[in-house]
Amino acid sequence: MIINYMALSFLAAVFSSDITMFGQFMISRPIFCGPFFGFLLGDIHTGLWLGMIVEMVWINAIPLGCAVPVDLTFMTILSVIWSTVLFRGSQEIAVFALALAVPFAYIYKEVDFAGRLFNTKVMHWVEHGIKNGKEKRISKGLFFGLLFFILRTALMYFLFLLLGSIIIKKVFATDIPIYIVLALKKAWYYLPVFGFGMVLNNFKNIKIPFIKR
Amino acid sequence: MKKNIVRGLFFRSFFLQALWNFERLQNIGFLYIIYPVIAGLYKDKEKRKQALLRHIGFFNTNPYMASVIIAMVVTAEQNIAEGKPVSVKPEAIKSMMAGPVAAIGDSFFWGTWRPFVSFVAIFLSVLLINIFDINYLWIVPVWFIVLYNIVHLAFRYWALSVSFSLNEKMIELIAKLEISFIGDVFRSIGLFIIVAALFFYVYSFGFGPTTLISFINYDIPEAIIFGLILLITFLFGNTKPVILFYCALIFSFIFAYLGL
Repeated sequence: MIINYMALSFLAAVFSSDITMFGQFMISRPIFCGPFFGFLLGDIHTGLWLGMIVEMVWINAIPLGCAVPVDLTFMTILSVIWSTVLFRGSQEIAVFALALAVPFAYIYKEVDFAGRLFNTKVMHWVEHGIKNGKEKRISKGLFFGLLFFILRTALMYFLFLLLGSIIIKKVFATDIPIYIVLALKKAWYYLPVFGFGMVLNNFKNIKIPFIKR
Repeated sequence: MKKNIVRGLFFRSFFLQALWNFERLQNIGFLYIIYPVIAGLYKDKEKRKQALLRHIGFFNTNPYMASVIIAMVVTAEQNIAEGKPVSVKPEAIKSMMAGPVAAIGDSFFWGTWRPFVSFVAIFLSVLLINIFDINYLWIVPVWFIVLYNIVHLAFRYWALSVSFSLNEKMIELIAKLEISFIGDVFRSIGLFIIVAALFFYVYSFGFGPTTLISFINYDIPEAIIFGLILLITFLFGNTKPVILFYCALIFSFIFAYLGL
């Protein structure tokens, strides 16, 4: 399990790097990474469902300028891995996993913030190098930044995967009241509706072409 | 501009934000992209150093739209290296262009195209899960990534290569593209798609004998609850998503506790 979590953490970090660090091919979006990890772990349905919920609820979360939004990739991949590896096909555990992944994603955001602050020091190291004729520091600094991002993100994924697994196993090993299980099962169907509501809310001020208002 | 140089700039442009920092944002990424061109243009070490230091300052734009600025800056650097007069300095091009092109890129790619492709993927998900076959769910992520990147990558390469030939006139071309109108069209189609997805979702999970819930001695369809959630979300949708997410969960707990 530890080896699997390490491999998954590294792959997940590569997916997270798509948000700002490399490419922006949108492999980091929940609607893609959710089913992708679900497919890898043998439950594409749960992966797609969770990805669909996160995609709709946080439809506007995109890095713009200096703003560092919450990492949706982090929250999606964590919840998909927990719900497919620990208790496959269980709707209540998938919803619980997502509810647990959300605060973890916010903690990770702070770590990401600190990492970006560290990048400033690397940038000054590159600048100093250029002034002294060490031009190779441009690519060295850049790839160090990318590698540092992937390593620190993989480490965070790994730690939170372990922590979340322990929490979920402990919670569902005990006799939890039936209404809680029922509530989580209901939430499995309610959360997409809530997501649709969030998306529709975005269209409040939409301008329909050819129709004057 | 030679095709292999354009190709090189295109591949390097994916690294624009690899050393994103709070002080000067994309500066090192930009330097990394244009470095081979600068190294080719200035054989003299001191001149090369001056050229590189010109681009160490603050830079921030939409990563897709950066292609336009990269081409214009490389053209200006080429003119400087060849001793030709330049109307606008390369560093001025960066500071003048970054904001306006970013606004177009953010509005079209982040604000319109990505949500539009997501809506189509969500529509497909709902159809496949409820009406067709869940064995074909792999179509959804494949569709999303292919459709999104066909437009994204084509635009990036096109913007880079055309900006070399048009240079400052590229701005006129972008202005003529009516991106705002195209955005409105895609947003409108997106709205219809998401409403259709919602319709299929409510049709599949909101009605039927297994979705009836008991409310004061009456059996009501779950679709009523769905409607209530939609109404609440629509009214309070401007609140932070994370707060609303947990409110939706609490809502589920209250319903389950009340036995609805």
